[in-house]
Amino acid sequence: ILFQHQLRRDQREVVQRFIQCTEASESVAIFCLSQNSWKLDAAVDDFYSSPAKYEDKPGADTRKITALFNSYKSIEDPDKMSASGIFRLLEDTSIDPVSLTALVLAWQLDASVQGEFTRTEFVRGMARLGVDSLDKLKPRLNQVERGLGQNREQLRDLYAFTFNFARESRDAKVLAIDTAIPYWQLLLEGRPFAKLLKQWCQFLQENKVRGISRDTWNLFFDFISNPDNLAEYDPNGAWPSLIDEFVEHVNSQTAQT
Amino acid sequence: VAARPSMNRNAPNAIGGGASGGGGSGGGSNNSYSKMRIKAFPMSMDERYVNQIWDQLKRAIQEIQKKNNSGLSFEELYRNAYTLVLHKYGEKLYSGTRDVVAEHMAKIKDDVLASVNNVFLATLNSLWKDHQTAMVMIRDILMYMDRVYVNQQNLPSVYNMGLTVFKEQVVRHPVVCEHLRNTLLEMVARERRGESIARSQIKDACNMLCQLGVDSLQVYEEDFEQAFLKQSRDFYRSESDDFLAENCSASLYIKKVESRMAEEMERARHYLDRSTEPKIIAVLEEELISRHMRTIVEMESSGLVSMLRADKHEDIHCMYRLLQRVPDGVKIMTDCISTYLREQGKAIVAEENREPSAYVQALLDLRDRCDCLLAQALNRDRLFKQQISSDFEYFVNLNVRSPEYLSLFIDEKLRRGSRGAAADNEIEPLLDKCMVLFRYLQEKDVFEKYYKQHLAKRLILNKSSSDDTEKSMISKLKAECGCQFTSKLEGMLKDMTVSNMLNEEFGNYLSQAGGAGAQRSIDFGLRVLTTGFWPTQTTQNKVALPDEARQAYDQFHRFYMSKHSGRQLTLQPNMGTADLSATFSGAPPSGRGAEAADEPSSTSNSLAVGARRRYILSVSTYQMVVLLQFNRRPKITFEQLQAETNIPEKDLQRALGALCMQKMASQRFLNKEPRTKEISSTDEFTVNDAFYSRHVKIKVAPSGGVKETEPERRETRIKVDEDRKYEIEAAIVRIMKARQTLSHNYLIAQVIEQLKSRFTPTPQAIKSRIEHLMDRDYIKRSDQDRHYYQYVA
Repeated sequence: ILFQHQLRRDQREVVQRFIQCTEASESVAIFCLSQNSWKLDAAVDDFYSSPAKYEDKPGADTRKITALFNSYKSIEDPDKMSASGIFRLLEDTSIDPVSLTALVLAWQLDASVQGEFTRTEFVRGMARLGVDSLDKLKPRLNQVERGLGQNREQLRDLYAFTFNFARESRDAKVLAIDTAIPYWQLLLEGRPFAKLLKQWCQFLQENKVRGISRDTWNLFFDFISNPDNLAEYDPNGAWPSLIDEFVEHVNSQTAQT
Repeated sequence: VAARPSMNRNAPNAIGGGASGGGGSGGGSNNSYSKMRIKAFPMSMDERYVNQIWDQLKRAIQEIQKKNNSGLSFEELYRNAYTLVLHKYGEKLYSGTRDVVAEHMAKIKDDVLASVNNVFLATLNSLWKDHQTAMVMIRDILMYMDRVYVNQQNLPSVYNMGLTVFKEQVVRHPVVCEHLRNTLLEMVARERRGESIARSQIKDACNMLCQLGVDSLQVYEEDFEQAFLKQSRDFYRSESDDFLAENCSASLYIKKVESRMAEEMERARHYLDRSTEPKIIAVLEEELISRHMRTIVEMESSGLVSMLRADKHEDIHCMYRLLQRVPDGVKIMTDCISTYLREQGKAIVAEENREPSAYVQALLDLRDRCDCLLAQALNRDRLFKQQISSDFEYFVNLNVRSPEYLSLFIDEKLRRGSRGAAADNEIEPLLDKCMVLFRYLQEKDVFEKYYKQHLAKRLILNKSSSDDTEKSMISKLKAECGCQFTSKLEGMLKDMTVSNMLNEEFGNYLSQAGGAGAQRSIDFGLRVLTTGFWPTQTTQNKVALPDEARQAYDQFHRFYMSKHSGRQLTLQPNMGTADLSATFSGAPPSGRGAEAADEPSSTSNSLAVGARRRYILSVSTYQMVVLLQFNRRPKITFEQLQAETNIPEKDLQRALGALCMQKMASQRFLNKEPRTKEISSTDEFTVNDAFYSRHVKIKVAPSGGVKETEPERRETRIKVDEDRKYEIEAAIVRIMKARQTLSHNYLIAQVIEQLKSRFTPTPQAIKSRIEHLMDRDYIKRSDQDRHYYQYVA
């Protein structure tokens, strides 16, 4: 469920070679490779041994999707679905607007701005998801969501997407702390590796940190998803200084207790 | 023919020649016979004949051993030995000789044993000498055997065999051996106690032992040297312990050790074997130095510290000479000196309220002492040099004000008319010393900041004592830190030269223009300073100059613009000065004033009460602006002053403070109402007509060279930190542009390396700058590896 432009160059090359080998479609190739941690041999094996898993999605009907878009589109700009349209869509599919599912939808549609889907984003995204009717949407999204638990790479992708998606404007360099914390909770809370999440949010609030830079945002994922993050932490390493301070804070607290 | 070895060298050759000729020409060559008898050469010899020859030889050997050799014919004996060897009786000859020698040795041994309680060493030595002589003769007789038989059989030569037998039978006899060793040791011990002994006897005995080892010193080492070294070790161990236990001083101990060393060296050279010298010295070094060096260095009242305190360089030099012989000796000394030095240094830098010049002078004095110490006592040892440098670096940087004080110190030396101004011939060496301190500074950028401020003051107030000295100081800084460090300082000097020329041209311009408004109303000069070179903070306020000054400035402005159109001139009054002529007519206050009037002063203005007194006041430009306001009205409030002059509040307060805060009422120029210590906005000011001074010219504005107050210092600090941010960022970008991709740790190391000549940034500071640059898209984190950064073009 990755899109080609989100791939790194080396990954793109692997995809091309996979397609040459198997003559599968691009989306299948990406999906299959991402399931096999981007190892070509393993992915090809997997592709042939369990064909059912990698069958092409039942082709979503583009006309149906367009019709769906039209029923929610904005009146002022017919090529966009505005916030109110999105709310209606979520209501109709009984998706909670502040749930992870809603975020996953935005991610899957590769929405560039919060509270707005463009026509192309919507049509392409739904087609990729293989969804052309309202009743299919929520189950499909839930399926993707479950996949996140198993696939760290996808979760990271969603995580990185969130920074761009959540910031106030396209030019914003930082994510306001009041925005960042709810998103962290949405993305990471309850995940087995994210034990330090609560302390992190507390630390940020106590120290009146106002904004989170993209670099800090991205590296925090690497930090928190490493099970030995505290034990093997190198304060002279390349970690952002905010994480340096956090680790010092945690260590001094454990030393006190 | 005497049996002296060297006398008849050609005889064997002649005979040998005959033999190889296949000859029948053997036989005696006794010249006394008139008729030649030629004996047929015996092709084979019977046993009897062999024994007969051997007996002859044996007897001869015994005679030699009895020193009875005068009647023997060397030639005959040689021939006999030759015959025996030639007829393959070499073995008989060799073993026979050995038996004869051994037999003799048995006798000698008895002689030696008999002398054990008497003149043992003399006896042994003389017997040894006899034996040697005998063996030399025997060797000569048996030379042919040595050459042929011994060579073939790979046996020890006859002479060496003789030595071995002597060794085994005599010297290695248990009683003799032990007695010899004890005698020698006893003699050495006696000499160490100060008695005099027969050195030559020891020398001979040692010589004997050495020779008995044939090719090695084994006998000497086993029978004497080992025991000698052990005895020495014991002796010196207890001696040094006793000596130290008596509470002697370190220098005394060192002298003692030195003399003992010399003594042992001399002993080894004079009557022991040379090879013993390094060994015995090693023993001494270990027992007398290594074992006690910490004790003597750290001795309470006489150790290294007390020597340092009293500048006892000779004693320290002795200690150094001694300790550098042993491993870690120098290290112990450097550690001790370092601790002492750090204490001294800390005491200097920690003292509160020390005057900057005294502070720097104290550091320079300490440095001089160290140089002296290095040169006189420590041989300029590299280790000490390094340690002293790192100690200085340590404590000089303990006090954050060191850069400021150093700059102030230099300022005082370079400022004309200052109390501490240095004489022309002293200034260069003094500046060099200052550069030594400068090198220790870690925060060179802070020094630069202050130096710039102080230099600016010197230049603008025309207080610099010499242009050349200023230039020489700058070139010193340039040599140390590169031209980037000094480019602005040089720019400042250049501005001054240009300004001087400008003022001259301006004078010409005025005199040429003549008449029509071009008249010079007041005598004045301007300095045109390039923006960016100078540390002055640019004030945006347009200060309301008095008319006279304003006119003069406008004239200059017109003149300057006619020369350089397109440039912009902004007036910066905050560094300017002015001389005002002021008249006070009120009565000087009684008390102090009256006292002054008692003196028969020659100046007219100190006379009668109520007389008009004229003074020339040397004030700052701001003060001039303020004082001239009183020409228009007698009483002004602070608020009014501020509004009308447009002087920034802080500067106005400072200017007024210097005019009205004097302790004595007669010394104030202005009166302030109410009379509080602070100046608040509602205060009223009037001219103090009762002002009185004995001098005509009075300087009001302080001419600089004062240390900063705490808030000023904090302000400077903030500026420095701000500048550092840019410098770090610039360094990061420079490095990243050159390298494109670089790991975090390497980047940090490179940045520190680039900046260390100015200051040492912390990794945290660099990291925070990296993050800023990432936010601003100059660099980005690598996608592949988060420990790497990439340059973004």
